[in-house]
Amino acid sequence: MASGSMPPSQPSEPSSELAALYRRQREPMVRLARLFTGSSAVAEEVVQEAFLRMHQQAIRPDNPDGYLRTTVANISRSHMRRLRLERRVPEQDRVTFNDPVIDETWAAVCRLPFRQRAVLALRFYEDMAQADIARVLGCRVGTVKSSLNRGLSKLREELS
Amino acid sequence: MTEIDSLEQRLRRTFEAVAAQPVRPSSTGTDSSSAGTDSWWDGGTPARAHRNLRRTVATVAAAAVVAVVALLVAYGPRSSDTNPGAVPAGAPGNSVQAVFAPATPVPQAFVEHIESVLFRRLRAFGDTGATVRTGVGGTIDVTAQNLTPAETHLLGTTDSLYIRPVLCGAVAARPADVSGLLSGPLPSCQAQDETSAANLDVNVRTGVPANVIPPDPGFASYSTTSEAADDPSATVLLAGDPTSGAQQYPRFVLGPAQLTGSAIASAQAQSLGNNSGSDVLITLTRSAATQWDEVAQQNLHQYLAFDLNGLVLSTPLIQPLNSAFVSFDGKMQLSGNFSAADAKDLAAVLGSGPLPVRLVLQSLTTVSTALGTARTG
Repeated sequence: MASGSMPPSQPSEPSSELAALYRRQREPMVRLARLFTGSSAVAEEVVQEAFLRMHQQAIRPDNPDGYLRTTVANISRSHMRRLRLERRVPEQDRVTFNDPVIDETWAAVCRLPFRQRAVLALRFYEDMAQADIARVLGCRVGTVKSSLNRGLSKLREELS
Repeated sequence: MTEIDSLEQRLRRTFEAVAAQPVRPSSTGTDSSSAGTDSWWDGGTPARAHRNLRRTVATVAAAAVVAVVALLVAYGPRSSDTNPGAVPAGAPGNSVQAVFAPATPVPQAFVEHIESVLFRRLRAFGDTGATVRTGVGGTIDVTAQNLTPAETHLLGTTDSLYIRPVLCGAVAARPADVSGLLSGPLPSCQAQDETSAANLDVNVRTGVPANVIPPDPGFASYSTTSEAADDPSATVLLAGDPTSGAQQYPRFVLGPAQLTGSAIASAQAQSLGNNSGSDVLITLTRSAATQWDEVAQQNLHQYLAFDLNGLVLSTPLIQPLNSAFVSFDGKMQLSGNFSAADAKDLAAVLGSGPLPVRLVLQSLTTVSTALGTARTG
């Protein structure tokens, strides 16, 4: 029989700023990461890991909210890449709704490559400008523009 | 231009709908006042820390068969009083005011977490207009419409669901009036009574063990572990739910929990059709899915027990028809003689995350708004 897991060693506690950031931003970041990854379960793990990194690296960025958003985007991309799922979200992880329009649209979004999906989410869910999206995703504005156009074109083809 | 606008609107609506899906509350404290071994900043590397976090609070899984039923309806409120002024006039049906108190003192961060879990449970019960507030003296006050006694009880349960290996069966306790029962550390199962894969010798063609392992008589002098003492890290001696599928033995000796209920990503009641009742489909978080596969593989052709709040609901034999382990893909089906309401309530509790501490019902007020009078709940 396998034995139960042992508790880890006692860690240092996070700074009050990071604890406040966790309380304020955990839920919004899980929602955003869900749009990046297509999965609630993965989104929770991504956000958890983002906070852990910020804590363990003792990072105190000037703009913690923006830094966190970028970290969540990076971890989401790494996670999807590790799983070789970057170009699509597994169907079993995809949430479904009773609204066929939303189901169809979300299924099509989940079939997009990660960057296109992330750009669309940041543009139409977060209402971010293209320059801001470029900062979050660590790419050029031109890449954001092309990803946006390609993503919209693919969706237009699939949903027409 | 119109087409683009339409697509953008469609995307905005879709993203809003996806993002609006409930987010499970963090299963750990959210500030330093709640520091503990399962805090989110715990552990060495992020990955390991996360696995540890999930393991210490983690969950359950797939394709196992569990019967529950009576647990959901066997409990009622513990006390009640009346307070007719508490219910807004004109509300349809009966309105319930329940006042809970944590069984043990908790920091404020936990109170907020408890309120969040209760609110999610109430919404999952179908009560979208329910309110949850912190009351006088740290109580947690719930106002809801048409809350059943079973739902009221379920609101306050910790949802302590543990997956434990069955080490052996145990005979019923000797009557306590003959001599006092022992409650200390449990002895080991006798080798011939262990429900190991070697002793059971499962026939993969029939899915049935070749050997019937009798209950170990050495536990007759030991009392059954109480719900309060149902420590996930300890070996326990639990009874089976009398109406569930856990009927192989009068009692079960169970090893430390390998998974707990906290890593359930979602739970959904579903009808089986043909008057076959309902079951609960559970989807695990990704890390829990991996852990469940590891646990199930380690216990291939052995019994695993589903321990909910100190009662064994079921002891499925793991993949008796498979000669080699096959992944459960993060799914689990809890089935049995559930009514639709039972399955819905169970799914609501399992899918809303655990409470960090059990809640004790302090008072219950039920008011018939049609008549404007109060009655006991």
